[in-house]
Amino acid sequence: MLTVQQLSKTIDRQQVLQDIDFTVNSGEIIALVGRNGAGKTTLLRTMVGIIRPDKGDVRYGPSSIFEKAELKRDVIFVPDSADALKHYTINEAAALYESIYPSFNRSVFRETLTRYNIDNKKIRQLSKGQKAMVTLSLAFAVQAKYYLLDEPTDGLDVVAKSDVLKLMIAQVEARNCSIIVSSHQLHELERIADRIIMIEKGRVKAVMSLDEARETSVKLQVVFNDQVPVELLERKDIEVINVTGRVALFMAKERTKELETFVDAHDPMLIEEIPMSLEDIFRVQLGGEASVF
Amino acid sequence: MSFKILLKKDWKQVSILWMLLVVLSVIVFTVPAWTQLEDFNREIENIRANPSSFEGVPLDASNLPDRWFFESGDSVGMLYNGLMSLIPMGMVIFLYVVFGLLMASVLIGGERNSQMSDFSMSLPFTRTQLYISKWLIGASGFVVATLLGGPLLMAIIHLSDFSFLIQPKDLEVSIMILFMMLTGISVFSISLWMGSFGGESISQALWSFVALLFPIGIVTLIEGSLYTFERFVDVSYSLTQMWMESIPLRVISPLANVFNIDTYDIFRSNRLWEDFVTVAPLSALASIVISFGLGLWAFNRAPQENNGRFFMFSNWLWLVHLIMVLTFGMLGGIMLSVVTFSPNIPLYIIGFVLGGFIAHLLAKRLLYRFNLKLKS
Amino acid sequence: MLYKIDMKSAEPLYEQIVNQTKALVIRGILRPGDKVMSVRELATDLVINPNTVSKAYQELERLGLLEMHRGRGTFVSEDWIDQDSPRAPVLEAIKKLAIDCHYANIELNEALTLFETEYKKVGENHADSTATE
Repeated sequence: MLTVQQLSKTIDRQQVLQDIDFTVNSGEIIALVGRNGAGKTTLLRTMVGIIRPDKGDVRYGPSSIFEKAELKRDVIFVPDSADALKHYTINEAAALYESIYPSFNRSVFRETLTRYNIDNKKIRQLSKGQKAMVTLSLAFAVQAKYYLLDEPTDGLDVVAKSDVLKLMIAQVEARNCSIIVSSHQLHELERIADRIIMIEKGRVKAVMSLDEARETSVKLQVVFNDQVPVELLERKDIEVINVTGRVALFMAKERTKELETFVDAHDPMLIEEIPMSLEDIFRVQLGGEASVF
Repeated sequence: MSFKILLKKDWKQVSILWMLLVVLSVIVFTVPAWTQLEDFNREIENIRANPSSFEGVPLDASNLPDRWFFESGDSVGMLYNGLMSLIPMGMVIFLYVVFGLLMASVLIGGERNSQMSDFSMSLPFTRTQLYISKWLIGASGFVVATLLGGPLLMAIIHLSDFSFLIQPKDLEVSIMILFMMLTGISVFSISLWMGSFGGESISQALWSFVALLFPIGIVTLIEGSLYTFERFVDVSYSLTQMWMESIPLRVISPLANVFNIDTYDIFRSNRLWEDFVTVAPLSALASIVISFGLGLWAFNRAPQENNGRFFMFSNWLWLVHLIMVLTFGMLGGIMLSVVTFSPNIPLYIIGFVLGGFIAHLLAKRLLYRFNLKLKS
Repeated sequence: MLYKIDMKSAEPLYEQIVNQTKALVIRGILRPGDKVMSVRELATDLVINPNTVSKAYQELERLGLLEMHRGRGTFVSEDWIDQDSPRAPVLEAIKKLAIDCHYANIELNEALTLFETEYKKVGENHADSTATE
């Protein structure tokens, strides 16, 4: 079990991580979402021991990754670009991994290469999609327990994206490893994530499954008998998506009794609850004023 | 078992430079000596042919043995310097400095430039292991280069007509060559340490220059400044001179040892040789030990998130800034004040302010901006 | 290919799989004794979390619709009776359908005739599969 405890880090007088706290169990796929600059990549780099926190700890089982370097045999961080090994050929990279990680399975790796028809070239000569497949396959061939993936499908075409996701799913199912994915591709994440960690300005805003998030927040389409009440639009706790004629489509961060009575009080003709997508949840929890920086 | 893989990985990064170092080293150790030996022959021929043009040379010079030409006082010119002129110390040291900086840059700075640094830090090895591997790979280059070039050099001299030059001095020459190797390792070691001061390869190279020259330069600057205020300070003795010959400096800056070698008389004067053999090799060794230790410590402590910055320890930026302003100030002050014949205090002050100001602007540009995109 | 996942639906994913599997069995597309896709196969095929598929299969096993045979795979049960088919949401759907028909200008007769035809069609298949015991 992976535990992140009260992780805090300041970089250049800015608090990039603040009291980050969560656990990851085996066989889980966790999505890490947040606006750009929220601290996701820094968090992942800290979780694999590259960056040392000011406060807090990251524990794999009973031990801290900052104290036992051997723990890193079971944790693989895959950054968003294949920059590190670009001068290696695929075979050289495989040989490197094989010597570092005792659990590396050469035949599993070869199998992926044949399936996706990738020849032995220098990694920087591969296409973007092939690079992604190779770096991920190398990582998965290690048969580690924990994977930290930074934007694995970023910039890939539809086919490559699908291949990457399927590879991740098959790995989790086969070996019960855990994957923490940082991504902006919310429509992908909502399909494959067990839980979602939302990061805002270095803090954990929420940790929940999509179903749980849907229970917390609500998206309503209300048709009013008279015009849409101004008081509704002025409420701070809702995000208005659309107002057309007498119909208002909006989302509320928290579904409260108070909101329900408020809407009822303004003479609605029809109230329809619309299921929220992860993108909706993202917007209502993490969107809003002064969040773009 | 597993440490070997680190060596293999670092080897892959630096192998071309390493091999180039060895090849060039063999060339630099042997070719100049070879040509110098040829020159000896020619020079002696020349003197033999025209004995009257040379002071102190008897007319029956053609009957004199070669040996004579090396032992009879300054008047016979460059031959006096015999043995030492066969040892290409300057060239070897220059080669070692260049490759020391280059290899250190590839091993650390180059990694920090790319995501290889992150990759290394995510491997199941401690930072100490990572550093030791890099240090060993680099240092080994100098060892191999010297172990090949040195004996070859000695062999060439032994096998030449002038072997009498080296025969009584085999041990001394070996020590000299060993000293060159230690200096090379020391320069590399310091540059590797600077890999944790500078957050990428260019800043690492700059910091290496600073580390090598600062200890010597700063005293010169201070003395030069004091000289301006001669009226108020007694500068009858030369600070710089004393500092240059002091042992602390020779430990801190490996090049100081090199500058201290009197290449003219080192093999002739017992006193000079004693001075050299007791101080130089040991201080070079001490320099290696200290820079290795400091480099290891800095590598362990350097915050990865500062990769790409000019100076990685952001808490101490203010100190770097301050020292830059002071040194450039002194430099500016000295430069302006020597415009007039005698030391001129007002000019010094103006120069100091100008120099300091330029340094301040430079520091603001260099120290406080991000070179690589900060990902979060 | 047999399943259509609707991310926009209010119904949780695993429920969609459970219900669609039931429908597939009722319509005779999946027959008793047929081998169904493994958790991994279905998860990768639909590109969804394997735990979701696992949860659905466990529910289907509990309902008696699927049987897992160690080493051989997962199969549609030979004998299955849909015991707790929820009536309420279906009734709700019928109500909603009534409103939709009004808006679409579909006459009551037309709607009823169509409904009757389809109902009988499914019923035949269902009757067939239960009759072969």
